[in-house]
Amino acid sequence: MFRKILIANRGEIALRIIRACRELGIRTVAIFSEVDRESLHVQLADEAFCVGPAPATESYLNIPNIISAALISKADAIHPGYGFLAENPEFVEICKDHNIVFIGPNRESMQLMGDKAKARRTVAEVDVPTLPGTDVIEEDREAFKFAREYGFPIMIKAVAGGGGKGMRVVNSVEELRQGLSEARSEAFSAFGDDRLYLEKFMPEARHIEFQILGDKLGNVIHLGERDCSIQRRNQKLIEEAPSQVISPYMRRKMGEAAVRAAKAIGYHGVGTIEFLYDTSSSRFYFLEMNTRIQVEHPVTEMVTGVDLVREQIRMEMDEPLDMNQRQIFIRGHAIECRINAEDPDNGFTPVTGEVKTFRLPGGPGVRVDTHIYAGYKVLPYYDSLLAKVISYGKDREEAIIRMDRAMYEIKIDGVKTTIPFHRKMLQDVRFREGEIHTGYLEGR
Amino acid sequence: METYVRSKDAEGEDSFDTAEMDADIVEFANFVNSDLRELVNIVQESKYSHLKFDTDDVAVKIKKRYGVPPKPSPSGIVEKSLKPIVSRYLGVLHLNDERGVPYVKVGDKIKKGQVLATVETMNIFNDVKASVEGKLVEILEKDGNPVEYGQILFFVEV
Repeated sequence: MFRKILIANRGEIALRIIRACRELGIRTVAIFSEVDRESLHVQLADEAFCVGPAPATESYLNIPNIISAALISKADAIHPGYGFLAENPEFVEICKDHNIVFIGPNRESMQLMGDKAKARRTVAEVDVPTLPGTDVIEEDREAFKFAREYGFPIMIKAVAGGGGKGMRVVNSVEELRQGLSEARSEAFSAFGDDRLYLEKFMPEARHIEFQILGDKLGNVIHLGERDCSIQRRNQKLIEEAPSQVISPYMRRKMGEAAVRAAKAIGYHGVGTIEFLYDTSSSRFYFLEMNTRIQVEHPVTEMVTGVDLVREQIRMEMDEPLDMNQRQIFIRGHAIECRINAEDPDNGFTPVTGEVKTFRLPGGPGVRVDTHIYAGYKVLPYYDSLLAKVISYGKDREEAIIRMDRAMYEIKIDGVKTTIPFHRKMLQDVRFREGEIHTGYLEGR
Repeated sequence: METYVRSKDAEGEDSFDTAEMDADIVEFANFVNSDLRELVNIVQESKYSHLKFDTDDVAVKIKKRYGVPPKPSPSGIVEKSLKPIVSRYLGVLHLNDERGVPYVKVGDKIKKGQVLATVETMNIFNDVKASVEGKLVEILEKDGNPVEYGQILFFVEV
C-alpha cells in the first residue's frame, strides 16, 4: 500500500494522477519548475517542491532534485506520467536504488520495448505479425536491398525513436539515400543514437492501438482499441474508441496478439501496443509498444468504465487484476480532441502567450482534462497540450454531435489553438463517415 | 506572495486554505478584510520574508515567494542593498560542516564564493556559495530542514 506518491510531471497528466491518488486515499507530492509555481497541480497536491528553473532539463528532468524531493517527503512511489522521465530506464534504476517504487514497467521491459528493432523481433517470436522491415541498418546497401525486395514507399525510423522524431517516408532510391543521412543526424541530435531501421510504409493504413493492463502475477487483459488515425506529422490530434474499421472478430484477434506481446516480456501495469491496420487486406502489423500511460487513455476509460490510472497504481501495489477479459465490454463511443497551443493555419507551429479567456465546455457526455485557466501563461519550455476534450455517446454519431457542441462551447482567447481545426474536422463528411487513414491530413 | 489564513472553528478543527491574494481569500477572511490587505502590503514592502500571527480566532501566515528578492522600497537604501542567497538544489540544508562548526553566523563578513552552507541531495553535499560580498544579516532556514530550488537561505547586506 502506498501512503504517498510523488508525481514527476506537470500539466493535465499531473492533475489526472493527483485525482486518482485522492480517490485511492493516497497523499500526493507535486514537483514544479519556477515558472509553474501557480500551476493547478501544485495547488491540488498535498505537498509541492520547486525542483529547478523553467527548462525541463533542469527541473522536470532533474533526477537528483526529484529523488531528493521524494526522499524528503517520504514518498513510497513516483508516478512519471508521460514524457519527461516516463521511459528512462536509468531513472527506473535510480528509483530502485533509493527504495522508491517507479510506477511503470521494470527496467528490462522498458529497455526492450524502447529498442524498436529488438521489440519487433521479440513480439514476432510469439506470432505477433510485424511489418516487413529490417534490423538495424549497418550499411546503406542493406536498405537498398530491402527497397528492391518490397518496393516504395518506405518509412525510415530511428531505433531510439518516438513521438514522430527521426521518421521520414521515402519514395525513391534517391530519396532513400538522402533520407538515411538526414534521419541519422536527426536521430543523433534527438536521442544521441543514430541507428536506423526500415519499414514498409502503408499510407492508407490506420493507426490502431490496444490498451493492455497487467498485474505482477502475470495476468494480462486488453481493453480494446483506440483509433488514432487523425495525425499531423505523426502527432495525434483526434483519437477515438472503438475504431470504425475493427470488427468484433478482429478486436479479439488483435487484442489476443497484444496480450501475447505483453506477456512475452512479463509486462505489468498499463501499456499500449500499436498496430498498423490495413483495411483492404484486414491485416495488422505490430508497430511498437508504449510502456506508459498515454495522452489518449481517457477514450478507453469512457468506453470500458475502467479507471486506467487507478488500475496502474493498484498494479504497482502488487494487487491482482480484479477483472478478466470476459468482463470487459466496449460500450458506446468516445472521441478525444487535443487542444494544443498551436497555429493550425501556420503548419501547427507551437505558439506562446497568455490565456485571456477560458470557457469550458460541459453538459452530458463531455469530459475535459486540462490544467489551464484564465491567466494561464503558455510558455515555450513544455509541450503545447492545453486541454483534452473527450465526448461520449451511445454510438459514434452521438459522440460526434456532443463533440461538435463542445467545440462550439469551448473558448480560449489569447493564444491560437487547434480548436478551429477540430471544428472543421467535425464538419468533414469523410470524418463523419469514418473514412480516415493516417495519411489523410497530408493528402488534403 | 502567498497568504495562508487558517480559521479556527468551535470544534477546534483546523481548516486550511492556500490561495493567491485574490477575492476568494478575502471573502473567506471577511473579518480581517482590510487588515489582511494592509498586512500583505507591509510584508511586501519590508525586508522580512514572512509574518505569522495567531489569535484565538485566526492564524495568519504571509510568506514572500521564494526566489523573488524583497521589493526595494523607492526610498529604502537599506532594502536595496539586501541581496538574497538562494539554494540551487533541493535537499536537506546543513549549516554546519562535518565537524559541527557553523559555516557562518549572522553578522559575519562574507566574501564572494565563500561556502555558506551545503544542501544534501541524493547523498551529495552541494555547496551554497555567496554570490556577493557583504555582511550576513539573516539565516532564513534551520539546520536539517528541507529546502527547495530557488529558496532564499540567507540575506547579505552589500
